[in-house]
Amino acid sequence: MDASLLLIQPAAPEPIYRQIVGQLRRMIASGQLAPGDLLPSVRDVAGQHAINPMTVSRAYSLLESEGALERLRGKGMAVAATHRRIQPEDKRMQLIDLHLRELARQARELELPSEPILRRLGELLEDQE
Amino acid sequence: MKPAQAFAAFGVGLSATQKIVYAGAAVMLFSGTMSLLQGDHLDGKGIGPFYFLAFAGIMWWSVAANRTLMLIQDAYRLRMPAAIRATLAGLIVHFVCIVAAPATVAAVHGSAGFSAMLAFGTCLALGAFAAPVLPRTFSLAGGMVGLLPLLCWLLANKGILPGVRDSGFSLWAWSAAAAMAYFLYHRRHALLEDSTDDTADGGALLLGRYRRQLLSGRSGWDTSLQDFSTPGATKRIRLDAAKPGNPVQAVQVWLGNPFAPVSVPMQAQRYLLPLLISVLTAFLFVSLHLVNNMGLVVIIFGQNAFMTLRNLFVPRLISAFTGNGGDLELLGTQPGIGSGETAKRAVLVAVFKPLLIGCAVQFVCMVALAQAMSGIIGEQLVHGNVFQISSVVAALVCGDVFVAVLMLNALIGRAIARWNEVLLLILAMLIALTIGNAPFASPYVNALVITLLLGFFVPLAWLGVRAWREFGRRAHPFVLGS
Amino acid sequence: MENSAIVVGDAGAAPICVRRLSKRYDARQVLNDVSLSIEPGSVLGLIGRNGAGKSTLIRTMLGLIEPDIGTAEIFGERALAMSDRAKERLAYVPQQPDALAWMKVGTMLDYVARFYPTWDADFARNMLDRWQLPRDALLGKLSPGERQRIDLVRALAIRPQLLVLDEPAAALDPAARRELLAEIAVRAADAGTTVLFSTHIVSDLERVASRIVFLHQGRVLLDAPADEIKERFARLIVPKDAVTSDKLAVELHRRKLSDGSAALVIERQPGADWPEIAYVPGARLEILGLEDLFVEVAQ
Repeated sequence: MDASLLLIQPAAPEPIYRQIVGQLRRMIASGQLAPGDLLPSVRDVAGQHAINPMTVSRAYSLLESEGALERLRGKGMAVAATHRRIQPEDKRMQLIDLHLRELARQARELELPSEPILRRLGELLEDQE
Repeated sequence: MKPAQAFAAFGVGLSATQKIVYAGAAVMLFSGTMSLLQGDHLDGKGIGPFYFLAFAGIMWWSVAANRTLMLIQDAYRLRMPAAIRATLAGLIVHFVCIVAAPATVAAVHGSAGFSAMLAFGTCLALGAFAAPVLPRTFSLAGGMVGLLPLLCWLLANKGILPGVRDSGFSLWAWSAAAAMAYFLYHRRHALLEDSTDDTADGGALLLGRYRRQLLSGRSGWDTSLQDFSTPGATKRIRLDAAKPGNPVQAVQVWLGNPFAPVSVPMQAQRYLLPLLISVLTAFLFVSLHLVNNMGLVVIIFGQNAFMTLRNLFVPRLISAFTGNGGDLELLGTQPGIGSGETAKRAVLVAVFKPLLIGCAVQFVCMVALAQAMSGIIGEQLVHGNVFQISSVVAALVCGDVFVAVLMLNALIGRAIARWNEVLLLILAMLIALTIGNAPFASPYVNALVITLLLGFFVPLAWLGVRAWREFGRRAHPFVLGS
Repeated sequence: MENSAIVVGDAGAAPICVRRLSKRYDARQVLNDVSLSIEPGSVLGLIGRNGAGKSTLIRTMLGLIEPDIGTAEIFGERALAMSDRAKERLAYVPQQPDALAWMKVGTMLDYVARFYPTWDADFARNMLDRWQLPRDALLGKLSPGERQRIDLVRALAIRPQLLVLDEPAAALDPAARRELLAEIAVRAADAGTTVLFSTHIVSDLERVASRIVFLHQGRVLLDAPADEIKERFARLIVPKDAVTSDKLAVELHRRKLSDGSAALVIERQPGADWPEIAYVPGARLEILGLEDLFVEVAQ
C-alpha cells in the first residue's frame, strides 16, 4: 500500500490517529487491503503527510491490538492473515461512543423521536452485515 | 492645514535626541545673539559670535530640513499636493522666525547689515536642505557639514573670504545661496522619485539614512551595515582563523566589519582611509597658514579622528547588541565561543582590540602631523602654558574614552542616545573654548574649561562604570536586554 | 550515588527542562510560573496569540534571556551557561535571523559548518536548490523571508538533536511549509530529533506536533498530547438557568453569550466520561478542532 492513499485532514474534529485507524479499517473491510498486504512504514506515512510519527505508530498499535494488523519481523506491519477479534465488546463500544453521542445530539436538535432513528440505524447496520 | 499648524508639526514626534539638539542649538543661538548684541565679540581672535550662530543654525536647520524633506517625499508618494503646499508654507513661517526676524533685530541694533544677516541665515538653511539630497556616496561629507562654518570663519579671519561685517559678504553669500538653491532645484526629481522603502537599502540619497534612523527608533546612529553596500570590503575578511578553539576570531567574524579579522593592508585601509580627510584638512589649514596654533590643528584633527572611530565601531555594535536580537540569538547558541566568562573575555578582546589599534593609528597620525609643523609646535611649547597644552590633550583624550564608553554600553544593549548628544555638546563647547583659549588665557576661561572637563568626565565615568558592572553581572555576553 | 541531575551533558537528561519561569518587563508579566519538560524525540508545538510570550519563553529556555525567577536547562546543563558540547547538539532559528549579514549564502554555510561535527553539507546543498535559494547573494540583501529560509537550511543541516524554531512558517509558502513539516516528521522518526516550534498556524501543529502547549498571557493554559486534545477538550454551551456563578473544576475558559447562556471550554481525563454538567437538559457539547479551541480560549 502507498502512504499517499491515506487522507489526512488535520482540521477535522477527529484526531489524526483515529482518521488513520478508520481508513485502514474500511480498507481492510472492503478488501482494498488483503490479508498479508504490507503497510507503509511509520516513517513513510509521517514523511508523506508531514504528521508526527508517534501518531502513526499509535494508529498502527491500536489496529494491532484489535487484531486487524500484525507485525512481521523485519518487514513491518501487515494486514493480519486471520482477522481475530481479541478486543472485548465494551472496549470496542468505547471506540464508537463519540460518534453515537454526536448522532444523539443532532437528533435532539432536529427534535426527532428515538424510534425512527433506531430503526434506520438498525437498517444501516443490517446493510453492512 | 494652516501654515502655523504646519510649523507646529515640526515638533510632533521629535525624539529625545532631537529635542536636546534643538535645546543645544537654542542655547548657542541665544549666547551667540547676546554676544553679538553686546558687541562683546572676539572676531579675529577667539570664537566669533557668528561661528556660534552658524553652528547653532546648522544644528537647528538640519533637523528641520530632514523632517521637511521627508514630509514632502511622503506627501508626494501619497499624492497629497495640499500637504506639500502646507509644508512649504510652514517652512516660510519657520524661515521668518529663525532667519528674518533675528536679521531685522541685528540690523536695527546695528551689529550687522540686514542683507548680510539675511544672506548668512539663508545660506545656513539652504545648506541644511542641500546636504540630505546629496547622493549617498557623500555620507562622509554629510557628517562634516557642521565643520563648514568653522572653515568659513577661519577663511574669513585670514581675509580669504569676506567676514559677515565686510562689504563683500552679501554678494558672496547670496551667490552661495543661489548656487545651493539651484542645486536643490536640480535635485528635486531625485528627491521625489527616491525609493523610501525601508526594507530596501534606504534609497539613493543621504536623506534615506535619516529615515532609517528614525524608523529603527535608534536616533543618532546609522544602523545600516555600511560594509556590504561597498562591494569588495567584505571579500578580504580572513575566515580561516575563525574556528572552534579560537573564540575571539569567531566573535569577530560574527560581528563582521569593522571587527572582522583582515589582512594588514586591509587594516591600514580600514583605519587610514577615514582619517585621510582629517589629515588633509589639517594639512590644508597649516599649509595655507590659516592657523598658527598647535591646539587648533590637533583638535581639528583629533575631533575628526574621534568621530571617525565612533562612526566606525559603535553603529555595528549597537545594531548587533540592541537590535531585534537576531545577531545575539545566533551568537548565544553558537558553539566555538565558550560559555560564561570565556565568552565575555572573547567579546571584550574582539571588540576593544580594533579600537585600540584605531587609537594607536590616530596617535601616530597626530604625532606625524605635529612633526610636520614642528616650527609652530616649538613656538607653542615656548609660549604656551602647561594648562593650555594639557587641556588640549584632555579634550582629545575625551573623544577616545567616549568611544570606549559608548561601545561598552552597546555591549549591554544600551544605545545611550540622550547622553551621547549631551556629552557631545559639552565636548564641542570644550573644544571651542580650548581653541579660543589658546592665544590668551584668562582664569575665568580656565575655570570654565575645568568645569566642562568635569561635566564631561563625571557622567562619562558613571556611564562607563554602570555598563561595566552590568556586563560583569550577566551570565554570558549574549543575554538579550529588556 | 551522585546527583545525576547536575552531571554536565547528562545523556539521559531532557533536551529542554524549565521550572517555574517568571519574567517581567516593566509593568508587564511576560512569563508567569511556566514549567515544562520536553522528552527526547517529541515534537512540541507552542501556540499562543501575538504577545503571549512565546518568543520570550523560547529565548529564556535557550539561556538568551535571564529569567527573574526559575531555571532553564538544556540537555541537563544550565541554559545560561551552556557548554560548547551542548550548543553543538542544538540548532535554533530565531524569528528574525540577521547575523552574518555581510556574508554570501554559500560562505555562511561553509563557515557555520566548521563549528558542527554533525554538519550535513549534501543536505544543505539540496535544500538550497529545492527552495531555489541563491548561493552567491549577500545575506543582508535578501528579503526577510529568504533570510529565514536560509536559516532553516542552516539549522536542519546541523542535524541537531534539538531543533528550536521560532515562527518558522511565517516565511514559507504552503508547499515549502509542508516540506519543512515533513522534514521535521522524518527527523523525529529517524533520528529521534526533539523539536520545539512556535506558531500561530494551527493546522501545522495538528499535523506534526506530538504535544501542544498553549501559552496565554504568559501562562501555560493547556498542555496535552496532540492526539488527545480533540478527545479531552470540548465546548459546552450551558443554558441560562444552568449557568453557575462559580468556576467549575473542569472549566478552562468561560464566555458569556448574549442570551444569558455561557460557552465553557471543559476538560475530561483521557478515557473518562464528560463531566456531569455536559448532560444537563439543554446543554450542547461540541467537539472542537484545534483552531476553534484556540480561538475560544484566547478570547
